Amino acid sequence: MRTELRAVLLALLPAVAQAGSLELTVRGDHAPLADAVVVAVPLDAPAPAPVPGELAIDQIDKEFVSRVTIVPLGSRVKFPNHDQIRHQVYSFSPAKRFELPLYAGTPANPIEFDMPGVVALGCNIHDWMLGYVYVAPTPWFAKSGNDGRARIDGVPAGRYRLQIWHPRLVGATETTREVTVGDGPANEAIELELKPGFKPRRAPVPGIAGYR
Amino acid sequence: MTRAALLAILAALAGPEAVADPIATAALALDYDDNIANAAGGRDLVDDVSFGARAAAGWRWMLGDRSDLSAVAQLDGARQARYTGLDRLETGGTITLHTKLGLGGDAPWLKISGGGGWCDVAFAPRDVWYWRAGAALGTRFGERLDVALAFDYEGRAAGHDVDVPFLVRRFGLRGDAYDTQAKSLGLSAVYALTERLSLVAGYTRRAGDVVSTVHIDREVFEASSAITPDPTFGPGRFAYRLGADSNVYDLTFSLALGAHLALDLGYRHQDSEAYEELAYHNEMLRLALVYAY
Repeated sequence: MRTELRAVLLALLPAVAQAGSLELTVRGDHAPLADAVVVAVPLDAPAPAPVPGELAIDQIDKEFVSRVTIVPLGSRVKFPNHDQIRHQVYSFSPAKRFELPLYAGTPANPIEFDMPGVVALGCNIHDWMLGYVYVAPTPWFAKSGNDGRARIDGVPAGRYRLQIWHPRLVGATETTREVTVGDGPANEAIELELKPGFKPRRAPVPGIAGYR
Repeated sequence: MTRAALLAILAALAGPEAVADPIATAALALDYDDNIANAAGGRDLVDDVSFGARAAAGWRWMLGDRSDLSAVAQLDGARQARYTGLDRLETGGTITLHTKLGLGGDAPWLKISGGGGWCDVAFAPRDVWYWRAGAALGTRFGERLDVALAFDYEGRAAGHDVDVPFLVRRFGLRGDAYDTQAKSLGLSAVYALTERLSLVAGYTRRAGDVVSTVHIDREVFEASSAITPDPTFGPGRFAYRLGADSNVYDLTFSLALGAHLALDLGYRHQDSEAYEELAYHNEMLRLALVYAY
């Protein structure tokens, strides 16, 4: 058994030694862009399945936190409600259709995201609440921060197609770019074409007495 | 409402899942009305500015995934710049049943509401009890346009008996000029010009009683159904009640100042026609700061 383990570790060693990192700087409207999803899909070999996780997307002050969440394919996600009022989270997206009955606290059953793609989240009680789950088909993904940078570590050397997505991206699908990962870090930059952002208004509107 | 539906609501309110969510709103408003006496014209036309404040608080009970029932108590006051006899303080309450006919932001909704209260006016004979009932149906088209159709009924009953002057009795008229009833049907649309700026447009057709205040005018008195002395706008004036059809046009720009606060600038034009020669026109402006929890 010990011999077999040593053999496996030795077999993995070259791959680990050759693993590099990918850093993409994402810009939009000529400024660093936060919340852009970057996924690396290998071109020379089948993509290994990511390790599913147990994750949570919170509802705080009647907003989804975070607004964009990347989850590995097959992950199970809980939707804890930290507000003093109740929420009813749903999605119409083809990648995952679901509806959580009205709830406070944390629903007992997590939602399993078993198809790659973008899942738009809403709350049927508070129409301004919008969130996105990006279900990643590979283990190599990252989300850009306020400086627009998204960094993926531990990427084996080889050619990759980068899939880049953002809620304001023009077009329904991701923008793609091919990159090669070698021994050193691969640094790339991309300017996304964005549509104007629009979020339903939360502030009171005359004559419309909706939920608050 | 059927008895079964009422029992279902009561059961939901009393059940273990019945959790109430708080509701709170407040507003400060500056209003201008170029014809505050609802006069047909001439020397009876007077304008005024008022400063108002409104607060409402209550609870909402979810009756399931699609419906809720809310109960709100409200306090609404206004002080006039010139005609202080119209200064008022309203206390009342409203119960609303709201249901969403589907899932998502585009799902149509239906609202049925009823309520009432007491309006205390500085010139005491204008004090009234009021009650309102209404139903509204609305939906969203796309991400920017909301449209609603609303039917409302409002009744008012004078809070005090008013002595009817001899002159009025001579015309065979009643003195309860502040007892009124009206029905209205309105269509409103809210268009989000940007995430923060919304344009609200509305048209309402109203049929019911109108109260105007004029100097003694035989022709007007003969056309009215009730008359009472009204020194609010000066001595020698009478308030009279008349059935009229009104067209009300609203246009408001509403700017979100945050998640809970909005600044509204509104314009209202109202035409009321009772008879060919008895028509009233009002132009109103409103600047309001509105908060919702």
